[in-house]
Amino acid sequence: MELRIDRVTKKYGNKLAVDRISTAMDYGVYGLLGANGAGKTTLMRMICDIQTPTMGEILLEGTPIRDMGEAYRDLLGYLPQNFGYYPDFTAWRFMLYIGALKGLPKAAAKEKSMELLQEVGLWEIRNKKIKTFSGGMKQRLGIAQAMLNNPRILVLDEPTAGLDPKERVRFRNLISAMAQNRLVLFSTHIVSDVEYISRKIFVMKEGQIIHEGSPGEVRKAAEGKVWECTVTAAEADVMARKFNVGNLRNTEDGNVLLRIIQEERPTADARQAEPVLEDVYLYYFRE
Amino acid sequence: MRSDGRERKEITAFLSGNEAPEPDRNRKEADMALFRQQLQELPVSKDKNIWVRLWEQAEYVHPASWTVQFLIVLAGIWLAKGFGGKPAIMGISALVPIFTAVGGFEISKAVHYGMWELERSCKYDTRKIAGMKLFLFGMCDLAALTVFSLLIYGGGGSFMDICLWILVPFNIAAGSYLLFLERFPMRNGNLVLLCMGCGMATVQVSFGKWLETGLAVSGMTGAGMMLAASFLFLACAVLWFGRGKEREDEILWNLE
Repeated sequence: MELRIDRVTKKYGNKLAVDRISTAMDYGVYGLLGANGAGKTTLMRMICDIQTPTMGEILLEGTPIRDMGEAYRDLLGYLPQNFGYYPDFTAWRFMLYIGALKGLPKAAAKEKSMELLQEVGLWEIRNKKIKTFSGGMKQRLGIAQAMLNNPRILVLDEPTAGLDPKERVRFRNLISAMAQNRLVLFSTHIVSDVEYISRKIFVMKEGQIIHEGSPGEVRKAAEGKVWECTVTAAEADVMARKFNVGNLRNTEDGNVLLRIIQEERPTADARQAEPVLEDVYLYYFRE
Repeated sequence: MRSDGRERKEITAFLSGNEAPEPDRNRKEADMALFRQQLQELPVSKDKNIWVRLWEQAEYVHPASWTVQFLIVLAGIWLAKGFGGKPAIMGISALVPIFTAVGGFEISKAVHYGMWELERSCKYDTRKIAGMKLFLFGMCDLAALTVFSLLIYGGGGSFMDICLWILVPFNIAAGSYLLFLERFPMRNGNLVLLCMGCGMATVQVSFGKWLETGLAVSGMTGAGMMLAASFLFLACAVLWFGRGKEREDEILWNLE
């Protein structure tokens, strides 16, 4: 299965939200990394056939998804960034409703909903109204509904936003487990989420993919650009304003260890450090 | 042919005389994994016919919507039985835009509660859902209008009364709601629709009498023209609404 994005562009009036993106994906987890407003959500909506590209095409196995219509959406599971729900809906009713929209026979929808609600740990509270759920519980319900039709393509827009660290780890593992025989594309601006589970990372900025590759390859983009130096507290204050500081840690001797991301050596005694994905993020999104 | 048959017999005899080797554990597990994967890849959804889909949509309409519509029809019956004559006709007429607004709430619900994005990614997307809801509530409206018309007719009203006080207000109200929902999808659209409904009811009661006097001069032709114009307005609004659903993403993006 190949999902090909071919020179896809989206304009809203004069604003260019997505600018001539071309790439291809098959199986595994793909991470979309970018700051707010980078165009991640617009790209995902176009992949989900929710929005139409102004130019370019998205093709599944060579067929434009626009032409596939229902047949394409049948293969799709989507978790929007902020998904709403009807106030009278319980988790169970919500799942059955989405099941109906996805064209599942009632018996299959019930069976699959039971299985998924158990998997995401919401089975016990399935008859509670969604409005009483915490952010993490809503996200878990969101991923359960996305999986209802056993999708081949799973698109998750900021699935880990608002989750506590424990829930984020659980979520990451869940995404990883689900990616065995499907394409999972998920966006985030939490760097560690993509670093651990992605097969390939797309770094998006101002509507374009400025870098793509495995986490290791993307990390290489910051090679030779990450520096560490120990300075006094007073100097640290000045340097934090002057340089792109990724981390600032107080040492036991009262000094400050700075991690600076930039092309040139910031101070004579600065030493190069091994880059992590967060450095790449800060390198591209320093502003 | 004959030699083929003999060969087959020989092979069968050979196979029956020799036990097939037991597959090794790894191979067995790999085959089972492949089987499970292929089972996973089987499509879950089925193509449902339109009536099943309509029934399913009806199941997920908020019970309060059905209840309110039912209560409005009861209120119409109460007005017809309790007052009779022109006051009853005007009272029933005032109920029409409010009754119609309830359908509008349900049609615009996905935007109101932020479900549009999720619904749009499903097999039967927002456009189809809106179409099904339009049909469902259209049927309810038709049933209610029939009851209201019979009440007016039973109370001594004429066909002109039914046109002027029931059908024309309905067409204008429904058309206006659809145009409004298409042009201004908004999160608090329900309240706006209710206000529009109440506003239209007030206008009808305030100016209906004056309009009726005017129409009395032009007679059935005037009433017929007015009815035709209102039907045309509703038809255009439905088409506009349908077309608007095609470019909904642009409008909704601007909302965010």
